[in-house]
Amino acid sequence: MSLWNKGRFKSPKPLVDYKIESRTDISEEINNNITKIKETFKGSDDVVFREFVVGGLDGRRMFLSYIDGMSDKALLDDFVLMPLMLISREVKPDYEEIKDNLANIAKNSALTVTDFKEVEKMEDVYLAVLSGETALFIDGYSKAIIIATRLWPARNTSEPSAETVIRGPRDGFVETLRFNTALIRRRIRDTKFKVKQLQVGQRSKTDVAIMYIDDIADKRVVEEVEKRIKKIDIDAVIDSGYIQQLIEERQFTPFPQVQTTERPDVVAGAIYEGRVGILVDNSPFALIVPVTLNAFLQSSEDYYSRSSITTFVRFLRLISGAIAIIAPGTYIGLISFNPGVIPSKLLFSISASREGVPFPAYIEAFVMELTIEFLREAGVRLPRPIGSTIGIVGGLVIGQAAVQAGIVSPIMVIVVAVTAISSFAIPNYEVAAGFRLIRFFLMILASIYGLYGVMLGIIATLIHLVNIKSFGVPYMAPLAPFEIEDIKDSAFVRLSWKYMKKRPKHLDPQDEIRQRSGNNDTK
Amino acid sequence: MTPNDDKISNIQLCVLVFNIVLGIGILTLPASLTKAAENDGWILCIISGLLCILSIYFMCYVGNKYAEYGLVGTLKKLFGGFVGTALAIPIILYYIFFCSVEVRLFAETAKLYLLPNTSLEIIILPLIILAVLLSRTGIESIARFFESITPFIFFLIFVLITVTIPKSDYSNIRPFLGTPLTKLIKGISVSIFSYAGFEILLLIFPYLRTPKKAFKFSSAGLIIIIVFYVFADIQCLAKFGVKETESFIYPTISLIRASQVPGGFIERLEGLLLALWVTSVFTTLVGLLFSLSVVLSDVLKHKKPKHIVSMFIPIIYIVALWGDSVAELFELSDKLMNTLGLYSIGILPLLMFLFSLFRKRDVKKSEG
Amino acid sequence: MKVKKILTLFIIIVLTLTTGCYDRVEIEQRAIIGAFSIELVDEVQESFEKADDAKQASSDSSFNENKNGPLKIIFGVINPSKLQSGDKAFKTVEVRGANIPDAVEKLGEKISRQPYFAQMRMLYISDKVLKNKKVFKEVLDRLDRSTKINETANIVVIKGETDNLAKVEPELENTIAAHIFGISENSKITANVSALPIYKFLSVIRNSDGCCFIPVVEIKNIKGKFEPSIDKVVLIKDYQFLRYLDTKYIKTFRILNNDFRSGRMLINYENISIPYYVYSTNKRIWLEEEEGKLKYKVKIEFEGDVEELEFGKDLFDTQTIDKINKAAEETIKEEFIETTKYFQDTIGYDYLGFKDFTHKYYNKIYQKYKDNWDEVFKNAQIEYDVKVYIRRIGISKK
Repeated sequence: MSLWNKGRFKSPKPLVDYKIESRTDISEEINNNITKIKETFKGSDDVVFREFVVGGLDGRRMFLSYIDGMSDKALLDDFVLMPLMLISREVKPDYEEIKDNLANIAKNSALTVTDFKEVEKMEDVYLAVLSGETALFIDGYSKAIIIATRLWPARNTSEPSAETVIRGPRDGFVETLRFNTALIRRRIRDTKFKVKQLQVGQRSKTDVAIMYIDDIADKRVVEEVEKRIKKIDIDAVIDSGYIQQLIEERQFTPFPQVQTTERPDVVAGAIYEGRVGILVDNSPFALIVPVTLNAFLQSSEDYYSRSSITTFVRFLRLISGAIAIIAPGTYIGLISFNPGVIPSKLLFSISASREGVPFPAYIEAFVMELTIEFLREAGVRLPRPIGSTIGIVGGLVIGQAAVQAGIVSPIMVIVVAVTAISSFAIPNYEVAAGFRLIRFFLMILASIYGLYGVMLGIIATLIHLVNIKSFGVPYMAPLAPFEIEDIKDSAFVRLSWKYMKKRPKHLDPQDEIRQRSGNNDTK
Repeated sequence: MTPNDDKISNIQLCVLVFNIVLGIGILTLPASLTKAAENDGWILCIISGLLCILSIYFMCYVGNKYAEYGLVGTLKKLFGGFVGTALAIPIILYYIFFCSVEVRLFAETAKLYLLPNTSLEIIILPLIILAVLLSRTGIESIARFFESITPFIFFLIFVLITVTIPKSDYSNIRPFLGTPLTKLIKGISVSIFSYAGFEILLLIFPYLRTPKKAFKFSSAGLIIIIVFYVFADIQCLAKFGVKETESFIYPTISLIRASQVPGGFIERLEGLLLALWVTSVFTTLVGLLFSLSVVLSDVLKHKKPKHIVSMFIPIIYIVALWGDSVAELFELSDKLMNTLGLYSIGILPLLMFLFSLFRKRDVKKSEG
Repeated sequence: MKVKKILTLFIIIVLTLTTGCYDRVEIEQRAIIGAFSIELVDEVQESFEKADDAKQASSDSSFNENKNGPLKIIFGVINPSKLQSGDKAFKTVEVRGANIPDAVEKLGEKISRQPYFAQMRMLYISDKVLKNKKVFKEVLDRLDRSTKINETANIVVIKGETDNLAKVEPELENTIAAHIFGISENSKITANVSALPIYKFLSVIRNSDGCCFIPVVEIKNIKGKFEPSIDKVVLIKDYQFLRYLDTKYIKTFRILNNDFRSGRMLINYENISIPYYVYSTNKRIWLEEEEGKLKYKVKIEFEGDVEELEFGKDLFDTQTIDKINKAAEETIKEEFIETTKYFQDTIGYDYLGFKDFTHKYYNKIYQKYKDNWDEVFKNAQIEYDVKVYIRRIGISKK
């Protein structure tokens, strides 16, 4: 084992840690601090420096710095500068006392803001200023007061466009971490609910929040998540996608091992199940781990609508997932290798419709599937009004024209359309994208081996799937390893809440029981 | 989170036995059963199934006693170092040949019904490679694979049953017990090997989380197969009658060929079902390969079974292409089963069982 | 590791792609065979009968493949593009060959596409083939051995020239095969027609060692129009043609052979022939052995509806129905007795399933007599007990 791995895992490079390397204390002499901060932010014209004096002309000097546009100016004006500069003057306190004890007085009786803290190092000051806080230096005081003044133009919460539901809450995450944690908090009023905040990115210093319920979530998973996030060594984290890829076990797989969602209710539900939610600042996409393939085939709506309907819908999704993967491959296998399976009359009509088509079925299939992928990609990137036009143009005109021109057969167009629709029926976009990749893989195999090839492809995919683990949880759970208790809420069934008395067992929650007394029987 | 301890649960054991035993055998079984016992093939099927359960009992008894040693370890414990290793060698040969025959037989049927112009090598190769890929990943992944494939297999069986039942004449099963008893007893040797594959129980015990319940669950897996085999045999008889069933090489496929889907949205089923049946053959292959790697690594005292599996791609590939004709292939498989198969299903478990009984006394005496 | 795996997979895919061992045949490149007929050419048949000289001479030389064989096979190739427009959508291709595979190969010389048999509906065998045991067995073997031919296709014997078949104008369908297949599947409505799938035919003929019956299609030339009719069966004994069975025996013959699904019977009652639609029959047999003779007692129950009587006559009356029942029982019983007699005396072989029955249910007795079953059958005493139930009488009382 060790021999095998020696070449592969090189010893990690020494981490360049700013914090240890160059930490400077805040000096008592305010001028030093002013020079330092001005030096640091040299060339950044959006940083505001404001120097003022408290307690008459010979009073103490104070210095305030923030980034224009990220801080609440009104708050600074009304509740920081106003009390310090004006109101404190009116009171006329004992001069000597003020002189000695200015910092405490300012903190305790002048600053009328709720949220501030003190830091002792310059680097913390920089970070705070960069985060949108305001740093307040007081002459003769070796700490800086950081006032929480973060305010920047933020989007209001709105319904996530990628995960719309008919039944269910309409709010979605926004780009601000704090709002997002609040959205979750509103759904979990539990002291055991923990929000652990870390900073990732040497330069971006992005806030990452790990959320879980302390006495439900599997401790090992929480530790593992924390470990992996702390291990991340990257300059910047722009979106939660960075974190997602950096904490996933397997990179060469089309299947995501981390669930992403824009819906706070999904995250809250997952946390109650014993999963761990991860929020990243500047990203409206929350991450959920550990996750199974099962979870990707479920939508939050499933839990709000009644169970019989949901079971039916889940069954539909399963079928549509299967179609999205195997339909074009099976088409190739049937048309080019085993037409005997097709009923006679259909066979005749396919055969007749293919008579003028110059290409073999697999080329036809590849051309059409690629066209659909082009259309999808084009539709996503274009502005919405044009996007829908492209859809119509692509779907109708190209399909119709291709058939009339004799490039593809009409049945192929149907197959491609059904495949595309099926892949949209899968609730999770990322896993649907994975299915699309697998589909091409199966098409290649089908053009070599026919139906046998399709089966080989499915076997290969399944081998891959059973080997994936997401934070220690097998990807195919609860089907494999089989857990009868969890089948109640799986890819094909969801029983009514009345019968789901336990949390998913495959997540190994510390507290398994959801409905403790079992008093929900209404008989 | 299931513990990542490289062990499997009881249900997984059941599924494992079920999937390993169910393979290519079902395609040829009714013919050999009918040849051996005419209308009473299904009785033969049940009797030999029960005998197999007896064998399972032996294996589980020994396995429970020496749960942590594995096959080779147990053999060494029971028979001494050298003899124990020597006794394990036929098992290795058995697995190599079994794998090859399995692959070859499937490739032959695939060539007949699916890909008549594709060369055998090309059909075999991806199957072996995939099987090796999976068996390298260890017992946990194998068990998970089997679990996720099982609903599909059940679905296949369900389709098979619903499709073949119409237009069959069940009076063909009569007369009951028309065959002489001696012929019936001789026939057992034919039918018992259709259950070959459960001898994975010889070596699975170190990988079990709760070895105590192994007998219950593995025999449950086998009972499902007995039911299915009996069904296949009766159905073939009902559709074709004794002589015609006997004359087929692959009666079960012929059975499917002779069936039509009600409603007619699928016309010819055999190509489709055979393509789907590859999953079942694949699971058998993986089980055998895994067993092979475990035994061989124990014999060679190699710590990592997964390194050994890859070595077998060329060997199995070559052995699979050994037989010249189908007739020779069947002869070969009969020979294999009657010698090595008998050894690993019958003789060895019995020997181990008897010896373990003696050992128990020895231990007690020494204690006393 | 991952890279290695992907690389190996990639190499395998490339290898298999480039080896060119494909089975890929595009659907439009296949000639879908809807049906084919097998006939023995006359002159060859004669030479067969003279001696096997001709065959001997040809088989001595190893290059006898290109010679015209004794089989004349007419393939009905479906032309899908015409199927859409509703025209006559098939083409017949006549091939001479030594055997079926040879003929299929020669078919490839005549048409541009690859023959494909999986969607086959009908197989026609000329009665000339049946009369030649050797050729017939060859054909049987091919049918049993081939994986390509659709086993669920129906088999019929053509009485007379197979060429006439191509002259049939298919009604309502585009191909003759579909036409005749449709007729033979109509056995649900008419009692005279029967369908025999190839697999069933093969298993029957093998299990009974060359003894079976096949439905017959007769192509009649009515006013210059060729019309097929399936109302006969041909009896085969020892892999050879025995005789045609007259139409009048067919119903009872099929009931005794468990081949009857539903159909109409005419009952003579007070000089009116009443159509009695039977939708289920139930047959039970008892066997007794008496002094080396077998005594069968056959009880047959019919369930059905009376479809017409006479306008104004009261049928809504248990007594009338009882009377009709009686009349029906008598008529049917007579039919059975006559049929049995015909088989026992005229034909002399057991086609009525008594052998099979005895084997299945009275195995001990069967083992005693199985060697000279035909004699036993001829001398067997068979009694019938017919029970008729009229369940419904339509919607009017009188």
